[in-house]
Amino acid sequence: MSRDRMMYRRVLRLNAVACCLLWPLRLASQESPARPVVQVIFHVEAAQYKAHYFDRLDAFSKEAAKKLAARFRDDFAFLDFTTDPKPIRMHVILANRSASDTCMQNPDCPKETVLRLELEQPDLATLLNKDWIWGYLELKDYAITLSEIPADIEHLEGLAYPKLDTSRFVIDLLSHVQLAPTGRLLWEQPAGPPAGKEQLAGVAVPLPATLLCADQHSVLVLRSEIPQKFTQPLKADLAVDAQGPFIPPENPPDESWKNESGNLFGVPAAEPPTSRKWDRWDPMFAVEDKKQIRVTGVFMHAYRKMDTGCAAAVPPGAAGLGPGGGQ
Amino acid sequence: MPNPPSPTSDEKGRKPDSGSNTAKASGEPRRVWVSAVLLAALVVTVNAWTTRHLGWGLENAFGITSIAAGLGLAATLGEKFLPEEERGALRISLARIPLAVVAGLWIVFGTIAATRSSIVVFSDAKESSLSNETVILTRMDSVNGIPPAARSSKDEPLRFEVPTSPFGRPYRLKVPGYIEQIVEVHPLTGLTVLPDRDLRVSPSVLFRPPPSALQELSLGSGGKFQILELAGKTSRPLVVSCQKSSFLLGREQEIPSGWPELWKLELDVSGVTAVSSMTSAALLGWHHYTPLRPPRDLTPDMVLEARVISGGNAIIARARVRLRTDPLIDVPLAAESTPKALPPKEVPSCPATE
Repeated sequence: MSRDRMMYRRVLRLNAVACCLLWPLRLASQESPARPVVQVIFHVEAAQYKAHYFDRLDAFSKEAAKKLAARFRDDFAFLDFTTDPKPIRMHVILANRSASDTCMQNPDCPKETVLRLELEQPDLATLLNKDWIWGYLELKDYAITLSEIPADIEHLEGLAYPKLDTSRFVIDLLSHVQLAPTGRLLWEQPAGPPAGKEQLAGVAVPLPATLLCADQHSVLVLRSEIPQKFTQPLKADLAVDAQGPFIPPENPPDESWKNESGNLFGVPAAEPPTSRKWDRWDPMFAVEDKKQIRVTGVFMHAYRKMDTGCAAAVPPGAAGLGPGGGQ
Repeated sequence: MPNPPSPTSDEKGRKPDSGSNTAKASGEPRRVWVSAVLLAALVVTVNAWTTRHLGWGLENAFGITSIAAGLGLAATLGEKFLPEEERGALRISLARIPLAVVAGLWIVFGTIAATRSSIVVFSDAKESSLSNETVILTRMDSVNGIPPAARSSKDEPLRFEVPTSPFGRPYRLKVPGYIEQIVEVHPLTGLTVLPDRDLRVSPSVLFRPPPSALQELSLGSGGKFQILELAGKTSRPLVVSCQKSSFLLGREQEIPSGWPELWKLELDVSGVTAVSSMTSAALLGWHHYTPLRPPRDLTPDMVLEARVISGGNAIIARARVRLRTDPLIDVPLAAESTPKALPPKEVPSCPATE
C-alpha cells in the first residue's frame, strides 16, 4: 500500500469521526424551534460623537450594539437579537436632529440627539421609524461631555433606552419580522348535535410560548390566504389575541393537537388594537373546506412579556410532548 | 644805597625790556585761564561722556560743582597763603601746559566720542530684570551678538558699548517680549531704550476654540489644543495644552473690553445662544484664557496654526493666522464639519505640569 493511499484513508477516517461528533449539534440545530434572529447594528452620525470617538467609532458602535441587543433580547423576547451577521438587520443610528439644514451643518449649533431605527430584511423594503422619535438628548444637553466608551454607553443606555416607545417600536418595526412562516388553525366541531360547521378553537404558533415569552394581551398578526369561489385567494391580516402556552384537551378532536402542546396559542381578537387596519375573520369562517386555508405567516403586533419570566411558564406535563414541549 | 625798584621792574629787579614783554606778561594769565577753562571743560565733558557711555564717573552735577568749588577755594587760599615766588611758579607751571596739548586732548576725546557710543536698555516695568542672554544686539551686517558690558548687579540696565559714526549707525535690538527692531545709535547722545516706550511689543494671539471643541477639552474628554508654526511646507509644534479655555499665546494682557460683545454676536450667528448654558460656558471659557508661552517671541509674518484634537485623534477645529504687528489679535477656531484624521505619531500629549 502506498504512503499516499494510507494518508488518504487516515483523512477519510478523521472526517468520519468529525462528522459523528458534530452530528448531535446539527440535529439539535435542525430540530429545536428558534425565534427569528435580528442583527443589531449601531451607527453614529451625531457630530459630537463622530468628533470625539473618531478612530474608536467602531469600538463605540460595537459596544453600543451589544448593549442594545442585550436590552432588546430581554425586553422583546419574541425575537432574538445579536450582533453577529444575520439577514435581518436592525440599524440603530445615533443622529442629530434639527429643523434647519444650516444648523445641521454647523457642529456648534445645538441640536437634539436622537436614535433612528431602520429595519432591513431580505427582499423587503427598509422600514424606518419616521413617524415617531426615539429621543436621547435634548437641545440643552447638546454640549454633553463625552469621555470613555463604557461610561458613554452606560449613559446612552440609562437615558435613551427608557425613552424608547416600545409599543411603536413593535408596531412599526418588529411586527414586520415574521415569527413563523405558518401557523396551525385548530378547528373543532361544535359541542352537541347536530353536527354543524367547524369552529375555530384557536391558532397555534409553531413556537413554544416560553420561547416567545408572550403573555396574554400580546396580539399576533395571522397572515393567511382564504380561498374564494371565483377569485384569487383573499389575503388577510387577522388579529389574534395570544393566550399563552397551548394545553391540549384530554380527548382532542385530532391527536396531532398534542404536538402543539406548549406552543403559543391564540384566539381571534375580539377587540383588535386600533393601531392598524385589520381584516375580518368572517371570510375564513365561511370557507367550507378549512384545509384550503393557508397561513402564510405569523407576526407579533403588540407584545407583552410574561410577568413571571420566560422560563417559569412551562406548562405542566409539557415535557416530552413533541417538538414544542418546552426547552 | 640801592635804588628802590621802579614800578615797572619785575620781581627779580629786571626792567621790562620792551613792549613785547608787556604783551607777553598780559597774555600769559589769559592763556592760563583759557587752558584752565578748556581743561575744566574737558574734564567735565569726559566725565559726562564716561558716565553716559561707560557707566562710570561722577554722575551728578553736585559732585562736579563740589570739585570745582573745592578747586576754587584751594586757589583762593593759595593766593593768600602761598609766598609770592611759589604762586608765580604755580602760575608758570600751569602756563607751561601748551594750549596745543589741551586742544590735542580735545581732539582725541572728540574722535573717541564721535566713533564710540552706547545703548542702554532698561528693564520693562513688568519684568523684574533683563538677562544678558535674552537681550540681543547685533550689527546690521552680522548675525553675531554684541555682548553687553559687565554689570555689578542684575538690576542694573544693560549697556552695550558700540562703535558708531558721526552720522549714527543702525543696529538690530531684540528685547524679550518685543519685536526685533532697528535702532539708530548716534555719537555723544547714544541710545536709551525703555522697551515699553520705545519698542513694539511682540504680537500675541488669543485662540478661541469653538463651543464644540471647548467641550472636547473638558476634563476626561481627552481633547488637546496644539499650536504649530508653519514655515513653507514644514510645521513645528510650539505648545500644547489640555485646558478647557481659550489660549493666549504671547504676553499676558487684558482682553479688550469690547471683545466679549462681539463673541456673543458670533455665538448668536451659529445658533449657540439658543442654549443659555452653552453660551455662558463658551463666553467664560474664552474670557478665562490659559496663557501659553511660545518657545521664542512671536514675530510679524510668522504663520501659526492652532487646532483642537479630539480624544479620538481627529482635528475638530482649526485656524491659521499670519501675524502682523498688532499687539493682540483674536483668532476664533472654526469647527470642522467633517473631522480630519491625525496620524498617531502627530498626536501630542498633554503637558504634565497642567
